Amino acid sequence: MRSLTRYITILLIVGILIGLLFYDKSFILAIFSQVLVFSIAALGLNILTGLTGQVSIGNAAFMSIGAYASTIFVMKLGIPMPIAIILAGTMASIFGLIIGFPSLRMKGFYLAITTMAFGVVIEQLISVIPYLGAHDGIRNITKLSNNEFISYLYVFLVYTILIVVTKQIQESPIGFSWKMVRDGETSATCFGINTGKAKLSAFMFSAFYGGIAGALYAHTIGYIRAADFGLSRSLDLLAMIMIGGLGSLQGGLAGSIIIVGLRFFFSRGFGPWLSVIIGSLLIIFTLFFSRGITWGITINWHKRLQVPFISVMKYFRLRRTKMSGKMIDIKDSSIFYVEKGSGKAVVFVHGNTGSSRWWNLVMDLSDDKENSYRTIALDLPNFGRSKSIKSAEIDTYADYLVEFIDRLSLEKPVIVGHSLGAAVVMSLSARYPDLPSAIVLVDGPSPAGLVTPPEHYPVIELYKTSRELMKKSLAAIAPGLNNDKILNDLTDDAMLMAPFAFTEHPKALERFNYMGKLKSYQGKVLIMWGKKDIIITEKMVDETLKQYNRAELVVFDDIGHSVMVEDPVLFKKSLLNFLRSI
Amino acid sequence: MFVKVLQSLIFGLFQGCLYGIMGFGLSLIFSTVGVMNFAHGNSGMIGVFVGWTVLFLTKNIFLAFLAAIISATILAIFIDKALMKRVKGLSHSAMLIITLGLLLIFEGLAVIIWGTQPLIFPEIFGFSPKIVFLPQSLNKSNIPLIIPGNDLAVFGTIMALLLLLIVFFKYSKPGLAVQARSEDEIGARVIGINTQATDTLSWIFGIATAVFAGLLIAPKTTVNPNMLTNLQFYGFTAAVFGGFSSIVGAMAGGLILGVIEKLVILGLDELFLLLHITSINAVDLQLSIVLLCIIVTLIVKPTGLFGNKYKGKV
Amino acid sequence: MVLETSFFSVSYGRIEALKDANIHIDEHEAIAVIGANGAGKSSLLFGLSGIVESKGLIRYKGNDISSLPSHERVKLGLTLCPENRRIFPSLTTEQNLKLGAFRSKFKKSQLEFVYELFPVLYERKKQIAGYLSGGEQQMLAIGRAMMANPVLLMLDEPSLGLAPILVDQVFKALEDLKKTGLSVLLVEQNAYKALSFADRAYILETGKVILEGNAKQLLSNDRVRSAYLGI
Repeated sequence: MRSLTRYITILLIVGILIGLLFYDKSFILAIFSQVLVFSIAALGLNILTGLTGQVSIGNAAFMSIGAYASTIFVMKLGIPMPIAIILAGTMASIFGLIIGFPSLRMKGFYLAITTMAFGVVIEQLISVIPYLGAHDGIRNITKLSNNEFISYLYVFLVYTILIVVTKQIQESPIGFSWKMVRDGETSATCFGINTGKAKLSAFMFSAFYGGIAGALYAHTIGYIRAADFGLSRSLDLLAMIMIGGLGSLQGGLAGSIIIVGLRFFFSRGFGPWLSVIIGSLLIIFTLFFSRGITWGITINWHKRLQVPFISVMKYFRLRRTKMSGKMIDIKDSSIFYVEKGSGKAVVFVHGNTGSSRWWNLVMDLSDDKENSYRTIALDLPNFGRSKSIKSAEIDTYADYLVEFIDRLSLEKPVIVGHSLGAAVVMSLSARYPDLPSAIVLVDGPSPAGLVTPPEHYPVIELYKTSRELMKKSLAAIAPGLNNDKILNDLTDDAMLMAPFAFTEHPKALERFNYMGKLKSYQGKVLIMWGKKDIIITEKMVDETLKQYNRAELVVFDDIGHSVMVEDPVLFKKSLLNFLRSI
Repeated sequence: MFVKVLQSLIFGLFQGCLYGIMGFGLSLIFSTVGVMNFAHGNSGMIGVFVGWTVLFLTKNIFLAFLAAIISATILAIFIDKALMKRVKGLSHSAMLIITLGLLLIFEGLAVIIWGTQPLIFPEIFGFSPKIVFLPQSLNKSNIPLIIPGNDLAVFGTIMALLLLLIVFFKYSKPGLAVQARSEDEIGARVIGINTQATDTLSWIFGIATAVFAGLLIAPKTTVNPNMLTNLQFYGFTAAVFGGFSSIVGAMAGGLILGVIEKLVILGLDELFLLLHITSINAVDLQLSIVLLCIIVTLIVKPTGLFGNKYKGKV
Repeated sequence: MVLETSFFSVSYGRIEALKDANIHIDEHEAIAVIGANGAGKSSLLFGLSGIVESKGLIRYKGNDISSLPSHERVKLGLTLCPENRRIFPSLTTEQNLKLGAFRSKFKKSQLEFVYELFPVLYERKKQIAGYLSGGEQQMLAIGRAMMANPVLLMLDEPSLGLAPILVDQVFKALEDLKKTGLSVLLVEQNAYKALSFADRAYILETGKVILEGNAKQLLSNDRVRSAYLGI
């Protein structure tokens, strides 16, 4: 609710500011009003086509009905304008209901033809009725206000109200039923949705918005003709929502700015070019930007625009942070690691998109006065400051880890793995059962592997190029982490991961399979798991527990996927308890 | 009265055959490719403009027809290969919106290249109208019955074309392939039909018939960017009547539509005369009547008047 | 060997319906492919016949045909009788059959062979196919596929939606076809029927071949018996 108030406030302030900026340029304000009027009509069409999936090429007819109705109400019946406008919308919505009925029996082209036929019939009928001015239309219609600025404000207010109302409806059961109808009528029916009711209500809302837009059109322009609301107007509306993005509420405004703006740009003598351009825009957006301009900008922000910043950030970060630790050449890679203390070795292995930094808060194990520990956290190859290698297999990482332990001459270390790191430790424990003295698996996958649904890959693909999305995803796997600075640091480290590994790691985890091979490991195993983990389920933890001979489980109630950053104190306590028991 | 009705019937049939041929192209494309081609009339219009230009330059009507049909073929291949192939399988709405875009582009291009001034297209056949007086027993008010020679020739030409099309689609191998593909795409592919080729062929036949209809009607409407807009609406209606299934269905739909339209106008004229309404001209409502026919047909029988029972996909 | 695939995969968008299937079919051999719904059986046949795109190698009589379009594959003798019959409903039975020979030269003897195989089609030859009964339509679909004079006949769920007595009839006809020296690749839900008919079989589970072997032996395999035969 708070975000909604903020949204409305921002919208209103921006609108009024823009209006004030052009206060004395009434011509420009008139264009703005036009843009908003068509945004309202486009919003209406978006309800029908974008949200409910019913293509209409007759929506300009609703504008026509609204325009004529409001004009007659005000000029011939003397009804006050605000009431007249609402009545005009209501009248259009009755027509929407009427034309909605055929939609119950038709889909796709048949519906498109019907709506088109409806549009043409309305246009022709109005053109022959003398009471409505026949072909000549009606002139000198009462204006919203004689001051263009006030008119603009009125229109803007209506636009704001409608966009907010639509936002609310979209989230309501009605809006939900629309989307269900769009995504598949059969399944909608299975979910107990009355598809007929959903479609009819979409038609009525769509027509209501169209009617309001038409009424505002009449009272801002002051002159209407039936031909103003013909097939080409309906196609304009369709172009607007295609450009702005089907189903994107604010998208209609973007589309309207382009289409209405173009119309003024090509006002005299360039008319035919206008239709060529609008037609081409329709095709281009359908072929290449099927989700509209707003989506196009968003996706480009995540795909391309952040890339230069990320490369600069990577460069400096590598130089700066390499100072904080040591490097050691292992096989064809060079491995970065940090260490603290002396005594029994504890090796920390981070997870996917992780780095040694994830263990920063738990490196200091000197709380235990009786025992002393040497803690070592490394960046696996392909991660953080370590050199990239060609493979992203779990077993390969385990091999590097073995060699790393060997080169540092660590005697029987305790190895702690988080998430993908836990998988690496599992692989190590199965193939080199005598190497570790004990292992700790923090929110690790099941030995049967971890399947990432195929539809997640496009998003994972975006993590490579979007720091913002990466940060969001890390925040989701560490829900208890409230320190923004640490989150930023972890995000920057995540961006250092080798680009190919972003999609290779989930695939490697899918191939990962150590079912039945872990019994050879005789050491103790501690499994940690947070109940709020959105990746690892209780069932997977159970599987891991059963596959090892000597495994014990610690469950944290209020922790997600990453206990060592969410609650370092709790993590250390559990770890030290376990270390003492070995 | 009998003569008036008979006259309407004759005019209706002569008009209706043009609706039918438009409807044929639309339903051919719809039943194979699956898109309702909203750019149908305007594609035809572009072809007619090309024909007019060639006629203007060479004064040879045969070359003009040839050029128009060739341009239709090029246009069809462009639409199919460059646009429709890309969105196939994306969604039906996407294909629909692309044809709407083409509708606007073709209209704009025609205005840019040829202008809005109506261009004269000469009569192709040059027959004079025949005036017939029916025997007194049938014709009390002694009104002559007019049989326009040119329209009759157009009617004959279209019927001949229809016959050729029927033969082509029923007996030739490519024709059978198109028909099989329109019945069942997977069925067609498993027996070895190249469905990409049949789709292209459908576009070519569809648009070529639209150009042909445009050329035949051009002497009456003149050549202008909106010359086929209304005819496209009639074509839709004819195709809807015909249930988008058979060649004969669309033509029958077109003929019925032509007759209904003329009879309704006749009826409205009489009605307005009776009610002393002078401000409304029945002809102005012509298109609305046709379009109401579509809406009513679709509501009552969504598969069309001659649609298949076992193929009720809407 | 008539047909051999290696690392043959079929995906719809990002969803892999069939993963790295390696199967082979010898001459005059009848192969059954069984598996649950969504195991990738139909995808296998669609991929082999070129109706959907696929990855990996398909060797047909020693030549790689994986880049050939579907109509070229039909010409080579690789014919699919698809699920749900996919006959042409508004054409007559005989027209349907004649269209079956679209890529090869129409031979009267072939038509007579089909009529001999399914006498009921001869009786109904002038009828509109859409009005035939389900069993007759299935026979028509098989007959139409036979008109293409195939070397390898692929059948997708020929028993789907048929009464038991009709299922027997269809399998009887398949036995007859097998005797003519045809190679058959049969995808079936009715595992018992399919395994009794076939020489060898593959078992698909979630897009992967999990078991292959002699069909008669699979009939007595415990896993197969419990999962697919319900014994």
